[in-house]
Amino acid sequence: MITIHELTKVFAGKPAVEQLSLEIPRGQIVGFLGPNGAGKSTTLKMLTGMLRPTSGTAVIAGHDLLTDLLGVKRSVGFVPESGALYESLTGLEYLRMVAALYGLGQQQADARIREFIQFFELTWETLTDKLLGAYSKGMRRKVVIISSLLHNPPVILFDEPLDGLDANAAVGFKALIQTLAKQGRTVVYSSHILDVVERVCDRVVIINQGRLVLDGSPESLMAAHGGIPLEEIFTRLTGGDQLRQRAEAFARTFES
Amino acid sequence: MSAAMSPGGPSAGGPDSVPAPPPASQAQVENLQKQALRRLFSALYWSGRRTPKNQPLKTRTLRTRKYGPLVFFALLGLILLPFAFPPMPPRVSFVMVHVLTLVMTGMSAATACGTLLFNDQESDILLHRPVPARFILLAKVRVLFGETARMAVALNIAGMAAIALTRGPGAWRYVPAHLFSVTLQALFCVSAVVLAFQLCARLFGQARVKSLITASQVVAAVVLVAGGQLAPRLMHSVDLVHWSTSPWIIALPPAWFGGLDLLVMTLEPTPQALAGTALALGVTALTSWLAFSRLAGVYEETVVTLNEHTASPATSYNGKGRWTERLPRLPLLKQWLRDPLERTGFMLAMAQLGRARDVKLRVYPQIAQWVVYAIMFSFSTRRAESSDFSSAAVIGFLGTIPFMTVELMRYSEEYRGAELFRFAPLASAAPLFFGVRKAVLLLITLPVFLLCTVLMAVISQNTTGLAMLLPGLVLAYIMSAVPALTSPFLPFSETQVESKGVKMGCVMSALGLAVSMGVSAISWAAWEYDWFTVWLGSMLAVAVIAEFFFRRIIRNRGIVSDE
Repeated sequence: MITIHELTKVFAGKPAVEQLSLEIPRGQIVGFLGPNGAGKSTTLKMLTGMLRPTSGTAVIAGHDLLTDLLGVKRSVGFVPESGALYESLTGLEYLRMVAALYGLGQQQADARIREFIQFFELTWETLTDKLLGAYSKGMRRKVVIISSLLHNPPVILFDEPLDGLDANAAVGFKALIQTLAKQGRTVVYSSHILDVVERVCDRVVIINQGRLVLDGSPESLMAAHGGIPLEEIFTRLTGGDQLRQRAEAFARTFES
Repeated sequence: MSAAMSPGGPSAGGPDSVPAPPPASQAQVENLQKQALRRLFSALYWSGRRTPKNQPLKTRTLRTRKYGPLVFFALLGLILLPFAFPPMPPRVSFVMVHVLTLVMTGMSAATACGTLLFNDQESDILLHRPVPARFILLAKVRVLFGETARMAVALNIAGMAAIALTRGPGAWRYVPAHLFSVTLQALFCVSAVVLAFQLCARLFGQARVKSLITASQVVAAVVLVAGGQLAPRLMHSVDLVHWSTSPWIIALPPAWFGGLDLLVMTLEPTPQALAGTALALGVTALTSWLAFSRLAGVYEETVVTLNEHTASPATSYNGKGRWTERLPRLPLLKQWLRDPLERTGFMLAMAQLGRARDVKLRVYPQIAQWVVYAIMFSFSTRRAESSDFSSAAVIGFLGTIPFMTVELMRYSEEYRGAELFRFAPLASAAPLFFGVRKAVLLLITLPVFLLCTVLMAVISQNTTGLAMLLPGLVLAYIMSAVPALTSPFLPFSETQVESKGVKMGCVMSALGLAVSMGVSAISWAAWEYDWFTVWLGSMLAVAVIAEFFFRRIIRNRGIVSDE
């Protein structure tokens, strides 16, 4: 469903993503991990057409990123890390606007929105009575997630989707993406919360300094590394293996 | 997990049941997209509507915001009436009407364009949707054009009616002609502004567009305010009839659109009317084609580059650090700002005045009018008969500027950042306020004071009048403390939409102006009746005592809670 071929992005001479190649089949949930500044968000933004690759390309749901950008965008649902939305619109205005951008008429959109608000425990009144600027962080996140799924995309990219969601909403959301994957949708899930990735994802991809450093299922990766948890594998691969010693040394500075 | 949040999720189907795209033709989809974008940008154009947390949406606010400016423009249009009535020749009337329309709508378009064309968060919301950037640009332009045209028509209603009723037979033709020319002029304004941004992007690089937009918006707003004060005075000193018949008048856009009005109303194909009409139609068509078609690709590149700009690593500065860090380290300032919290307030104010778009757009246009007044009265001191009065008036404006500016430093779009001061272990926000106050005195008041001094000394050659400015300096210092006396002051912690704050701000502004002008009047009387030295000494003594008590009051205030 997603084929990434030597995807590279260079900012001011400095590579943010370097020759990344991946093959993600239909129905797979891929945990996309990396430390801060590793190039995760840049990769996702390239896959959604928000950033132009410096070189390389990707084919998503049969659409080439370089030659059929609109086709790619139609096939992708994206939750950006920023969770940005127009604060001066009501939730309903925003969702109807997004639905129209994907060619859904108002009746179709409203029916779909009703299904989502029931699932996410929102009410129609919440969507119509207040502007998005007055929503709580969790409610805003729910609206952004709904906006990414309204058009039934075959490929869904999540960049820190759980940020701001309460525990119940997070559990429901994780169950939802697992069900969507069973239906044949491909999910790329970028997050810093490793135990969620470990439990939800079929496969884990770790990048560091823009380069692919690890790729495999959580079980196979743990088996290959002597049964240690994913978190420890991650810290070893991304230069964090001395963290405990460093933390202890640093904590001693508080003693004086 | 609740029953509602079942893992089946919305419209869960069976395995491998990835739904097909919605059954709509490409044309239908594009129409839906265009309509949605127009609705979106129309709402964002009036995006001032906000609801306080947990309060229901008040749509009346939106109506007020939408129609309020039209009423304002219609009332503003009354100033066109002197040009509308005979004996002012039609060619002069028509050009002057378009001068005002161009200035007002052009500035309005420039301000709105920057905000609407390049929105920071838009890339994360729209760039990953299957919509061509051209659609986004055209939807924005359509909204900008529609709103600019509405304002232009509102501005011209009074003048149009007056001309149609007082210019004799055939004058009715002015109404359709003028409606068309004003609409065309609105299109010219919007296309010229969009084209200017696109050319800037091409010439200076897309990554610099953001700072250029802010700079242009601030300049436009300041010019609008300052121009509003200066234009009526300039008009009195210019021979409009002579000016409007000069051959070079055809180089100015208002003459083109005025020529179109003239041609349709008089049906006389004079060279001025014909050339004006041809230029109005030709140049508008050219700028529109360039902005909306030929250079539309530049817009897409700019939006993508702005997105890259936010994603790319921050630009590194040379070893000296930013100017906001270097300035407080200068020897004198280091001593003046030795309290670290005051220095924090000073640096925060300096950074906001230099970088924050909303603060710049709020502060500089607001103080522009007082700066213009101060400069105008400084010039006026060259006339012997009004020299002392003008010097005294400058005192009043010098007192008003820091008071108004400090008052505006309460507000920011980044008001949530002030939470830092609420949870930090600060007994009082007084040091932060004193830092902000010092920044305003140093960066805003002192330059204006020096400018007025130079103008009075060099241009007006009024060296004795310079002493008259001393009470202004004392007044400025004292008045800059007043905002923290009336209500607790935590810098950049409030949104300006809070009506309480706005009402209070208006009352405070009026009171501040009244006090400043009172001191100004007493200073003038003291100068006239030879007790100026006594007055200055008394003022200094009162200022020292007042400062002592003001500081005590401000220091005893806790930090305002976040409610």
